[in-house]
Amino acid sequence: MSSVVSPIRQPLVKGGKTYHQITEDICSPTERMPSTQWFIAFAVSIAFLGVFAFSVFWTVYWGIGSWNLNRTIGWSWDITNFVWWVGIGHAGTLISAILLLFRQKWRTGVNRAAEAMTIFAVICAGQYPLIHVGRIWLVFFIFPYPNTRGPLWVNFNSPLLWDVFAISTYLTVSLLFWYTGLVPDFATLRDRSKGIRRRIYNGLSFGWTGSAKHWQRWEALSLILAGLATPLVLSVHTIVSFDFATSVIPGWHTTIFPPYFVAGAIFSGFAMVQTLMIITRKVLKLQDYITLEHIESMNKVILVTGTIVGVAYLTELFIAWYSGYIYEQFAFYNRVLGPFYWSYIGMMTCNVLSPQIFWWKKMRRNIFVTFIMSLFVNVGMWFERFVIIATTLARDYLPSSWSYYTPTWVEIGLFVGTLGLFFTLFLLFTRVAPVVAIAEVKSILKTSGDQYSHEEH
Amino acid sequence: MENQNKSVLFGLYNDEEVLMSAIQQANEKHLDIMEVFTPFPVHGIDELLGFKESRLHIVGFIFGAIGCSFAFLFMTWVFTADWPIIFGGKPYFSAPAFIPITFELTVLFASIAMVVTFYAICGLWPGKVNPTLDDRITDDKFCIAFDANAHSEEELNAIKLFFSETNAEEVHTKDI
Amino acid sequence: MKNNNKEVWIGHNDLNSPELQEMAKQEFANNIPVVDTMADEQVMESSTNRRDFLKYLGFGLGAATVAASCEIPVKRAIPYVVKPDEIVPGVATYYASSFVKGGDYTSILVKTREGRPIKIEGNSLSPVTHGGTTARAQAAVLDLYNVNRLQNPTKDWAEMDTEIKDALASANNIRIITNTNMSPTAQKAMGEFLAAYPKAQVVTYDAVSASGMLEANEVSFGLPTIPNYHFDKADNIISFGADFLGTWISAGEYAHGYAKNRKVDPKAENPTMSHHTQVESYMSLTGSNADNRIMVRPSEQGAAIKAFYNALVGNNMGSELNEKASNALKALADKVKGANGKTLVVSGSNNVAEQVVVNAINEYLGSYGSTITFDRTSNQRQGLDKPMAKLVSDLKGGKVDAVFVMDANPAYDLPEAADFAEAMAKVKTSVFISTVPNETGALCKYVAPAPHFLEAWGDVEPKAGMYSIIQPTIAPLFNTRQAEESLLVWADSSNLNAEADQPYFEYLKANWEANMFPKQNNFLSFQTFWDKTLHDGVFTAPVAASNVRNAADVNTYLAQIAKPGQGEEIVLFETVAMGAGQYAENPWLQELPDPVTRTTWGNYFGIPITWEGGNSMVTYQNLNQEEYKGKADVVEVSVNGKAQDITCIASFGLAANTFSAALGFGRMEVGFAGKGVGTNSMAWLSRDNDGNVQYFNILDAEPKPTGEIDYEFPCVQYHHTFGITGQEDGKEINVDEKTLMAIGEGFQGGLTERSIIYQANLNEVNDLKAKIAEKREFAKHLNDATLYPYEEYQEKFYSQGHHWGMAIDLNACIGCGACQVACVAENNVPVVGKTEVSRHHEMTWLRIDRYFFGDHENPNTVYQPMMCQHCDNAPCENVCPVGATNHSSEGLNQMTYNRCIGTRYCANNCPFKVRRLNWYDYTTADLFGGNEVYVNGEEIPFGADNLTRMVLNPDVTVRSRGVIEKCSFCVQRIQEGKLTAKKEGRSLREGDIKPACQTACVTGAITFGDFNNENGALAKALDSELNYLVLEETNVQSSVHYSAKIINRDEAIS
Repeated sequence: MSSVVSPIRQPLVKGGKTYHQITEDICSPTERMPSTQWFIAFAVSIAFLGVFAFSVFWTVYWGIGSWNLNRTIGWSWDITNFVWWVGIGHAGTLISAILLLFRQKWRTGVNRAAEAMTIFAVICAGQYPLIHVGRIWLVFFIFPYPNTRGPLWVNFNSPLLWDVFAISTYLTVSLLFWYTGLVPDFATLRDRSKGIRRRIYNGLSFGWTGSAKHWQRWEALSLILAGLATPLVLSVHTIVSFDFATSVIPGWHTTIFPPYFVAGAIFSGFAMVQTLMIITRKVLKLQDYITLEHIESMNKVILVTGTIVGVAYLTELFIAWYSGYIYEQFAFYNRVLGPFYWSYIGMMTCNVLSPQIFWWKKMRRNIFVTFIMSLFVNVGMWFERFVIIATTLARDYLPSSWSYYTPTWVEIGLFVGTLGLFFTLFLLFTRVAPVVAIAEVKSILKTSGDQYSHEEH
Repeated sequence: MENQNKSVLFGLYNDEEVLMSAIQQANEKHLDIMEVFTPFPVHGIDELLGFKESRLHIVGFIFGAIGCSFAFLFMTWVFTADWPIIFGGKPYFSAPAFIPITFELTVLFASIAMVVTFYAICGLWPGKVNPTLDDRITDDKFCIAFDANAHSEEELNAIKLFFSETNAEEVHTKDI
Repeated sequence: MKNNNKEVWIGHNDLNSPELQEMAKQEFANNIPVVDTMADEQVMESSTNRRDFLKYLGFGLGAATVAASCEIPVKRAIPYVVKPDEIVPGVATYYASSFVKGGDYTSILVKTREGRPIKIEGNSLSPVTHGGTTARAQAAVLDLYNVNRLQNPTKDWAEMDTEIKDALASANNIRIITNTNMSPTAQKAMGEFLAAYPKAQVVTYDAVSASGMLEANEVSFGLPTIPNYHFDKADNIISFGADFLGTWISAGEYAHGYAKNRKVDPKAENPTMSHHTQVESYMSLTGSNADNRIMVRPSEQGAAIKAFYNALVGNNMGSELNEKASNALKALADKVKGANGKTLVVSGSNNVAEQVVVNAINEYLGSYGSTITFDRTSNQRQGLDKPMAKLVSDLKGGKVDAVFVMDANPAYDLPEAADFAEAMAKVKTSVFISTVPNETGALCKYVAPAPHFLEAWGDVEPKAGMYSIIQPTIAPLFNTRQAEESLLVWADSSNLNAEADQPYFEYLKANWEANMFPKQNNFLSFQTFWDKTLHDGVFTAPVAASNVRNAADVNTYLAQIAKPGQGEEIVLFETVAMGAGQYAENPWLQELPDPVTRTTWGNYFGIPITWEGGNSMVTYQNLNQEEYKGKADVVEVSVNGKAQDITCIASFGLAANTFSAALGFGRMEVGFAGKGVGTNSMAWLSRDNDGNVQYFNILDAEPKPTGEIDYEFPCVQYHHTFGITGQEDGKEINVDEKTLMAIGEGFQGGLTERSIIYQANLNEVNDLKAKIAEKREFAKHLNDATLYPYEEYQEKFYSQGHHWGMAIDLNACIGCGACQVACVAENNVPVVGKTEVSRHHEMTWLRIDRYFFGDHENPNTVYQPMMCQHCDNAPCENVCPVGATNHSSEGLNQMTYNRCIGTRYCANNCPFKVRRLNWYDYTTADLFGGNEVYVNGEEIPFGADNLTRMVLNPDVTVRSRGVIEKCSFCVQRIQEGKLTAKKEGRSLREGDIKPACQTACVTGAITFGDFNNENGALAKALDSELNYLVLEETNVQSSVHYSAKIINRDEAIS
């Protein structure tokens, strides 16, 4: 890790910290009584979680009929939210895995929280494939388990089944990666605590001692896991995009989808990390560890991916025209000008136009602008999925079956409900675990701590 | 450190660079260091202690290979041998359609196997209690430990001397 | 079911009924005679023999358990102790019978399973309907199990009879109100009644009547009857507002004849077909099938007839008619002048003068004797309007003191319904004889419930000498008595043997022996004749061809024809499903979309839709701009001073300042399905000077928007069209495409280039063939680039054994919807109700898409029956994660309901959008209690009650909530056919297997068969250059072929 750092780099750890201060700063939030803001936030999240529970109950008791889907539009908010959450769930692993491979030091400040966010987002995403089915009580049919019906296995040709494997693998690997990173920090917490806390954290830290041999293996493991997680994270959204790309519906049947979905995923993922980080660093007073450097770097990523996505949108339109295939042409014409034109406009402004302000360093380094932008991007990405799913289905091949869609309160409830689930989990996380990877920050202190890097100049 | 009632002589350092130089001197003096504990991974330390490169990736590869072949062969068996069903006019053996799941299972097998192996060989698992020499080791202290039982009195004095030479902050003996 | 004393018991609750427990006890109490032959002592002591003992043990256990009211309801059906010979469990039995409701008639075969009628099929032996059926006939089986049927008389029969007889004895003005009654035996019974009570009179009327026509024929030919129309013999068919394919007199029969001359021979170098012109004010089913439509305001109808007559005979004509129409009629006159005897002119007008002129036109064109004959005159409309009007005034005057209402509903379907209703209070004795309650019944003192026609005996004479039998297919479910029997009882008829098991059956048989038997000479013994007739269901007696002369003086009648009215007018029409409201309580028909407007569950106020350039269709007062979002505006319409709110629908093909609304809705005293559905437009009817009801009226004021929006607008297809063309800066453009987009304009070709519908004018058939060939060539070229090993499967499976497929002739399909109802009946397709349909949750496996093309002001229509295309490269199969849908080796796309978890991916990925999810628990079959949806405020959710469930087809699974379903090509019928063939040790014969839609179709538009059968009907149908596959370029390899739509449009005429 201690490879040469160009002196131009701004420090990533501020305030002339010593190792002990780092430990203090990062561990203390889990040790002191939570602040009132935290309690308020938690109460709100729990309330939304309640909404989620009720909406799920309603859906299961009455049936999918309680949503406004119809014979033409078989998926809408449900799968839109699914894809949206999965997308968000990409930043974490990406930051920790790919940036680890690229030896990007600035990742150390944010990777812990980002990975946590990944896991919670994937958990939220995972809700939708379950509750969107007509007979949730038989949902175990999608697993290829030996049974007495033949045995009748599952249809390995179905992108939905690929999804099942992709999402569950992604969740498992992310969990392992995240937890392995947490173990040494749990040990730190353990050694700072007494009594029951100590026993709990000892359990969580697996009895970590900090032995040099363990550290060596630990680093090896992190590196290989990162190596595996990188293609995995790319594969997951690729496979999600197959849900659409392998269909015959004009507007879905598009070869550009995999790269375009992955870019979109990173885009929205980073936006969500920004949203959370900007709040967390404020509330937990971690400005010295999650610095403007981090924020700016992530804004750069957002700018790049946002532009990639924009190019993808235009490419789609071009290809539709160029293909000379009228179904395709109509589908995209309808996407832009049809009854759902407003969602297309929303998508374009939020995803493509607004991130362009990040060409200006001033904007990249402005906390407030960044925060607003991160929200914009998340809204925009939600619109993108809605555009792809609902508006495409609404007008496909046979005009006789065309229809329109507006959500019911149940569908809206499910969406805000998963937001509740997400934030509940995240708030709990900030209480029980160090939101910044203590060991990793310490390991870059000498190279990127301000008091040291100044000497280099 | 598994067997009990063993006494350990250890010194604590404040900084990894001091620690490194100490280890170097220890090597020159041919003192056999029992263990070194650090709050974070210190680079170069493994060479000094003469660790061999970890072989975890081999485990990863083997299990990855197993996962890969298992997934592909299983799907092939289901669709061609066990119960061939016509799905939308695709061939029974529609290899391209098997790729995504094959890939996912490869990654899954490899990762799980490696993580499990890692904890196994490190002797770490939920609830495992490893006696710690000093609570600050996971905070900001760097520790070199010697097995007191394995050394004679004068050797121990030599080690103490070594500690003071390499300006260790504290030197303790602890029975664990 | 409970009120019914035949013990069909369903569960422990039934068994708790005291009488049953009583029975159980008695079974034990009975002391059985000792069997002497048995020497064994113990047996002697036990005083029963072993077999009896076992019997009691069995029943005892059963009865004890059940009567002890254990918590688990017993859902077992008890096997027969003594099995009726004609019933083999699992094997269907068919009985020939007839569907009759007022003037509607269809000769049918009734399919019964385990003694339950479950499906109605056409009777191919019938010389009238030729094996075709109508939606109304198909749906009739559901009425049998209607929970709202009349189940018991007001009083016990005997008591009621005496009271009624006393009343009759003292009455000195008795009226029997009835709709058209085509039954000779019923007429005889009524005759006896009239003989017994000389002060009685019969008043026959029809809600939608041919009164004017009957009177006109009286005037012209001295015959108050409806002649025999031969639509198959006519090269030119001209209809002045007669919806002869949908609702007019004998639509099924006419459609059959019509279609014969509409199918084009693809092989012919210059194919021919009849030319059909429709002169009308709104787009009727018939009008939508016409080659040319001439639009006139309803009040111009007479003027149009007049103008056409003048144009024919060369009078200089008055300028009463709008310019466009009169020119068109001139052109039409020139077209048909020459062709003598090759033309058929019909008119739906209910005005004597107009009909007389129509007769004159037909005479001038030499139609009589060729396209119109008087040999087999029709009895299907006998009602006269004037006497009914008089009756109403008599009632008002309190002149009548006893009224017998036979199945009629004057309190609803007369223009003076309100007056009638209040006048009924003045009547001393009022008796209502019917199967179901209605507005009139509610006003009557006595109710004498009659059995449903599937429980009854009877006969019909729809056309002179063409008899048809009605025979029961199930024992009466309720405490009912046939209307004829009641009349005879009240008349103390000596010919009725009241003690007999089935008195009216005896009476009927006797009548046939006396009157019909002699009319034939093939059979010497009556019994054989009777058996044959019962078997065939029909009997045709020879009739003498009668030559008629037209004696009317046309000019006087020409003078009588009223001048067109001014202002905004409303045309009121009968729909294929609802009739004049007599079908309102049938959920299947309520949910059958109107072929043209595609609306269900109600009637809607048709507002004209036009295009004045730009990118939007212009609707009247800009109403219904968001129809495609399922929102419709509500307007207040006032006619005859009666103002009502009604939901609008933008409609093509409405004449200027003309609006339309369907009759037969807004009923209040009716089964749950019809209660309060739609708006009652009967009150908007008017009468002409001769007292004949006119089915149009002038609006009091222009319709004013109430500002309300109807969010429950159950329209299954918005007005999306294919080739509605208009002129824009000189060149012809597709209007609908231009107006599709919300912002900006649609692009040309986005719809018309789709390979969904192919249509052309008759003189361009060869160009069309070329076009189809080219498009299919292109599709094949695209499809060659594939990884799919289609050929492999082809040779491995599809070319072996069977490969099922279908051919649909779009030229023969008139969109009547019979197939859709047949499909619902055959496959237990659930009814979902208005709210659900408005959310596009309709479950129909087979739908009939309606597309407009041609001139945007006066378009042509093509109907496309759309069901699962059973693609061999089915997109739905690939995407199902659990493999719930997959392909059979016979090319069927199969759905495994109990494997389906309802991800809806298959539905999304279906290019034809034919897959249906059970959004709610429509069949009350899911895990949860009390979450069923109500169709229309019924007490028990529709289908949850045991009576309605009796209509279910036991061969087809009832799908639970959350499961996808779709057309299966009636796989149960395929299996049945294969089994029968196997049992008979033969291979399948042509026509062994016919899906429900095919058997229902009256025009033979649908052909099902085996691709591998080279000389089968399917192969014949496919051997045509007009054939194409919908969306062939998607390479889904669908198995349903369509034959392009050909119209015979004459530009001069429109």
